[in-house]
Amino acid sequence: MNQLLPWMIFLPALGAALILVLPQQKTSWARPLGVFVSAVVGLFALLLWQSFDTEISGPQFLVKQAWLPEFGINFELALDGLNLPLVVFTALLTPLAFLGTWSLQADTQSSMQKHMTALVLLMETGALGTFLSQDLFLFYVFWEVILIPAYLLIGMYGGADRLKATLQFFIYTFAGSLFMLVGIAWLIYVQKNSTGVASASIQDLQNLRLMFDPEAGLGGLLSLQGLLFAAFALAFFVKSPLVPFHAWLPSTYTQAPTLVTIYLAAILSKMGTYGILKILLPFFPEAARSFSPVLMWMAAIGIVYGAVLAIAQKNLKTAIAYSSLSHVSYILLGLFSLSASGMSGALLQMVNHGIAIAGLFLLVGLLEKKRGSLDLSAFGGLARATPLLATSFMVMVLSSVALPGTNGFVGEFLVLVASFRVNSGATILAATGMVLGAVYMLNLYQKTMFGAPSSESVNASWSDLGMKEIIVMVVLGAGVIGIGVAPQTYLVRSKLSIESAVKRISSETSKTDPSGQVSGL
Amino acid sequence: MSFAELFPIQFISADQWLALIPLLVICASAVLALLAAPWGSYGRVGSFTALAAGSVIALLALSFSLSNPPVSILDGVLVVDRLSQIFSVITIAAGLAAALMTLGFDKREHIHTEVYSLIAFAVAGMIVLVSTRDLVVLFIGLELMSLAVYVLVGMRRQSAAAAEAGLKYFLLGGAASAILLYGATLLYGSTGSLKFDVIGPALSRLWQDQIPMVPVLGLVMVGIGFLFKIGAVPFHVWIPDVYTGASTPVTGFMISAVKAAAIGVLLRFTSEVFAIPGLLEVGGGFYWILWVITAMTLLYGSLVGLRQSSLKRMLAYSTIAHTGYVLLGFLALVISQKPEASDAIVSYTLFYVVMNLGGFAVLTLISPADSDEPMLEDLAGLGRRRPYLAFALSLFLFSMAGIPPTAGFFGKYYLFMSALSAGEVALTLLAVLSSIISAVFYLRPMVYMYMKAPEQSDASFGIPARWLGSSAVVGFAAVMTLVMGILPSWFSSLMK
Repeated sequence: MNQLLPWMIFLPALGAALILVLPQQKTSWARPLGVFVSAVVGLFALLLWQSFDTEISGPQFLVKQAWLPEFGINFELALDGLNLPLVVFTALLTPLAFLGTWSLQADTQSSMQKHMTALVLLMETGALGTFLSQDLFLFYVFWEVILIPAYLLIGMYGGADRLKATLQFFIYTFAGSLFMLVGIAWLIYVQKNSTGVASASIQDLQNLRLMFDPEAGLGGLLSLQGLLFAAFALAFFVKSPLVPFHAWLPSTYTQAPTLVTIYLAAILSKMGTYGILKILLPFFPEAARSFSPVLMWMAAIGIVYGAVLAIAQKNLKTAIAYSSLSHVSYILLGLFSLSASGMSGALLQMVNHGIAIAGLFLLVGLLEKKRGSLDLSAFGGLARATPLLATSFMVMVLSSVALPGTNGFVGEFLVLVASFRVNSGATILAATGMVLGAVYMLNLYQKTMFGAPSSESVNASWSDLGMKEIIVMVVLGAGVIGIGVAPQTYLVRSKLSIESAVKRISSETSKTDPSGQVSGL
Repeated sequence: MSFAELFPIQFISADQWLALIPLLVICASAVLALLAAPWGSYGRVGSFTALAAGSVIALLALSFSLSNPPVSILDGVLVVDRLSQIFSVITIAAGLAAALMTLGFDKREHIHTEVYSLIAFAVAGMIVLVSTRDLVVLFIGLELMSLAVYVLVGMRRQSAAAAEAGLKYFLLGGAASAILLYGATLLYGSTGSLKFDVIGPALSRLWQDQIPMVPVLGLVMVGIGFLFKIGAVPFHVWIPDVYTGASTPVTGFMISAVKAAAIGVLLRFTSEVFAIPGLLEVGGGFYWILWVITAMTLLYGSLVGLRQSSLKRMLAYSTIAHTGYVLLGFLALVISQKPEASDAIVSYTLFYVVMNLGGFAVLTLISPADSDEPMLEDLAGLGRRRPYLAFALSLFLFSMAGIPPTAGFFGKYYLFMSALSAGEVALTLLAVLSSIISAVFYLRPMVYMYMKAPEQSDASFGIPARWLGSSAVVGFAAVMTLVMGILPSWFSSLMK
């Protein structure tokens, strides 16, 4: 059972290598092979979900192998309550994304199909590796690995403006990550200095007491802990993203091919939020407590900002991209509330947002293929011509606007209740964002599905969802309703881990270790 | 009076001879290659075989003697220890790679068959350079290497750029050597010795109460000589023109082997002379000079690299930025004086050599016949035309940018680690900034290879050459870049 974890990571990479060396006349095997490999990984994930022990708060299915012994760096993988939902979600979404985008226009060229499938499998390797790593250095390696396929995919198969978008995406995330790398090196160094043993294990590094001095300028940002907090926060905030670190997002999401947009919005952005939950907040508790009000305000501003911009968009895909920005900010709001219920809500919302955004981008991709345009004015009256598409769109929209009974309601409700207790001002702002969210989502739906059809004859010739898309939408819809009705099966698995994280963040005395001071500036 | 007293000749014992085998084999192969060169139509094959066979034998001999204890020959004139062995391996392997890359290319560019012998002579000079502890022998090794390389640079005779590059390198290099030699005489004058291990302690004794001018001047001049060879700002002015004018395999050789040898000798000199306890406190100015040089080198290379469209020129500027990283490691070594710092420099050099040799082997293959200056446009559609070649080039570029899982990432990480533990936070952040900037131009070739729709049809490009030697170097370097990126501790523990 333990060996499942490394297999989950390396199986997609092996599959990708296999697909890349497929001979020219066998390229039609690429997508089936991709679906097969990722489905096997998905099965592993379900198996792990079933056998996960809810009574243990520590890591389970631990795999540990020395990698760079001189720096105390290990190949260390494990599941705990924090990464379990994300691992399962990633493993299940990948085959669905392959299946759903199978027939998209952008994928018809055979060599394109081959490269795209292989590179997305490599991204799955990176994402699963990031979530599963229990070693900070290993976490960083997987975190960075994912940049290469993402860069190539957007640049090779994106829209007209892809070169600019992919460079912007790469440089933003690379810059953020490099500061995190310096932070990691520093943490490992401090750990070695204070304990005498080098270790990069997240478990060990969490226990470091770093000097935090609120008087140090900029509210403590210039003390050792504040600087390290900033170094890690930069990487995570860019990836999530938190306004104002989002500048790469609209063009990247709009220009990337549908499959990649799904992957970026549903999974890559969760790497950022997961990093905040797993690393940023528990590692630097004093800094987290002291910056939490500011960060909550930033998240609330992000919610409203994304919503307002989404209302103003004429391009369907850009509108969904901004809605994603707005919804990710709910997750951040919940995380920064530093309370157990806010964080469980945020963790739940990570998966909820992933489901809804994957469904939305997939449907937008289908619409784009059928109409050859993303302009809102090109659509109208589709509900009659394509009832299945319209219905599945409705389900995703409802989840997105957090209608009770859907998964979005549970997550956002938990987040808002928890954050109201901590910071009522920011929460009220966030709640207005929720209203705005309903405005643009329903407006979007109305303009595309109802209203006057642009021309009856065009609509009549539209085909509805095919078999593959129906399967995908049914599974995603089941996720929306299932989590909405019975969130408990989900929440119970992460409860203990969240509680221990919250305890670490909130109840610590702010005594500092002398070694932390020595290694300071 | 006995014979031994009259003629105090030191005899070389058997184990010393054994330790000298690699150097002797390379020298022999250089002479053999030179003798074979005029041998009509067999000259090319003959001299290449002499060099290749010599390199392989030397590498084998080195790999067998790696676990032997250090040997000091003639009182430190030559020292065969782990440091010199590793750098000998790097330079011999780089020489072999350069010879492989030249094979086929030399015929097209009408390069004389002596090129192989010159490569072997340069490698012999490098081995002397990295295994000496004596300033005069150091100078001999330096000149043996440099004279061979001056000629190598100018060997593409029909090109004016190559002639200019050769002359420029010769004049500036000659000046740098002269400065170094003068510095050596000043050091000798103030300490009475040419041996590193005597100069170091003697200097720290001199420095106890005040700073005498003469040895400071000597140290600065020797330092300038080294900085010139590794190409630090402001001693970098020769780099772009020389690296562009020389034929592509030779540029690859200079960027890897010449630089590695210079790093090797600087490492020995630094750990025995510069890194004396107290030197930094007494000569406080030294620290800031080094700091500013490192900062300028880091930023200059990456900023100017942004504007290049010639691949050779772009990589030339990128190596200036890489020099900045190495200098960061040296600064950490001088401050912290920990063995980890010199380990970081050694592993970085190894990784750096592998990825640059690979990159230049790719450039050799795509170099256009009329100019030997591959431009970004020459890469257009390479991802379709030669997918494996394009993949390998991407791998090398990602490695230079320092993205896992490639060798370059770990090289960079080790250096950051040692700089941070020496307290160099500001310079580390500058190095990060430089990495971000240079990532922009490392990514540009990929745009041409994979992302741009070609303006002409594929057929209008010259078909990239399919020389076996260069392809072998590309393949080997690509595999090594990945292996080093996945199992870096095999290589980073070489010094232990």
